[in-house]
Amino acid sequence: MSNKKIHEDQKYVEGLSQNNSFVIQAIYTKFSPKVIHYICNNSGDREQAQDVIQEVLLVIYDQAKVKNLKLTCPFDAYFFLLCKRKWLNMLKKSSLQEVTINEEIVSKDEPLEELVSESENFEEKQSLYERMFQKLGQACKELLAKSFQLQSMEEVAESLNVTYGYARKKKSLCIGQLTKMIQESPGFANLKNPRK
Amino acid sequence: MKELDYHLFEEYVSKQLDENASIAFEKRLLEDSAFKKNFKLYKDTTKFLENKFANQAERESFKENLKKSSQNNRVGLENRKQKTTLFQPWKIAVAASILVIFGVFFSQWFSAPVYADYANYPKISLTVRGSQNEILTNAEQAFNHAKFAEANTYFDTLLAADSNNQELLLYKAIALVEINKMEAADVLFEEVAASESVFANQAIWFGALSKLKQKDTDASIVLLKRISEGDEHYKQAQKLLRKLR
Repeated sequence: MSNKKIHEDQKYVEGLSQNNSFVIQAIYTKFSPKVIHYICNNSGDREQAQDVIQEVLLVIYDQAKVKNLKLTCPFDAYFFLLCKRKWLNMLKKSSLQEVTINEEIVSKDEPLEELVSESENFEEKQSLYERMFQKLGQACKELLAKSFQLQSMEEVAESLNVTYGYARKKKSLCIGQLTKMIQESPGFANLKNPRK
Repeated sequence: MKELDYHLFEEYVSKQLDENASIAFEKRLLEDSAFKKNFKLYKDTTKFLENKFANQAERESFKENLKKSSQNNRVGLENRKQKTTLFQPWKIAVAASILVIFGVFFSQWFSAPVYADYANYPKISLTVRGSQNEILTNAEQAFNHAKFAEANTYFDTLLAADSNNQELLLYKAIALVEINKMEAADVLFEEVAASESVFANQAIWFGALSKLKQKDTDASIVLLKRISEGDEHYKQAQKLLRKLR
């Protein structure tokens, strides 16, 4: 990733990560019609297309925040392929057996495919982490939430009425427990090799 | 993994280890692949939790913004769809005849597009980046509540510390147009339009609107022509161009 040239459309990723209304609106105006058209021509409707667009933009936002996403291809192609693959996956998962897919030529653009796979892998990872977090005990959930919401571990200890030393130790153990649950979950192995 | 290792991970991530302990930790990362793998997952999980909790308010605000934009986009598309379906070819002929007759009488009313018809901009969001400060909050609130003179003062303060911030320059230029400081606004629009930032296209569009407000039709047309087909304001620009010619 680090050796690849960052595409000038990185500005859209930056705009999203900064929650810039002008940029969000620009993305909707410029790039969403193509997605809506594709989904409407492939067994979907406008409402479903809007949902797909929102979900994909949220993944890009999260990836920009957590992984410092760097765009190495045009935003248009990246965004469209992410939306398209998300929609096709939704169709596969849905109970609708009879769907019409007017498939276009599959992209042979390797950097684009790689970037889209990374984003999909990131989304799966976030979803797995979230599911495992929800399985943690209440005490760990509360301590972790406060650990990242409050400014210092002293404040966390005070708010939970425990000692500072205990709060710090417990934080590392709770994160450790979460990592163990993630490692042992059935979906973890699939995350290591992004889909081709 | 031992409990002690998790504690060590946390100490390292939160930079609590002293120099010798840090060196020992990094040495172990190089030599012990299982330790390294577990540390990577610990760091990933910490990042996930940070985004989930530390950025919670910011993320919720982003989701709200997405919903609004999606709604705006939906309304825009519906309007376009209605317009295209309502006007069948035979209806166009009838409508054209009526327009020709009435157009002569009402041409004065229809021929002069005004700034207010086009000056719609979304609410700005400045307070969501990392370190929040009072001036950013005040600037955002003043702008979003159409208190543009006040917003302009806050933008000045912010720009004093960050003079090359294209986003702030654009918002300041818009605020200046609203308080009729047109020359200063135009200078800023030109500066942002010449930049390679994501705001360059916005600056050309709002710059054209500024010229429209000044009733400088020729200058407005020149700017509108610079908006190319792929730009988000292209369709609006084309419509406005037709009315201005």
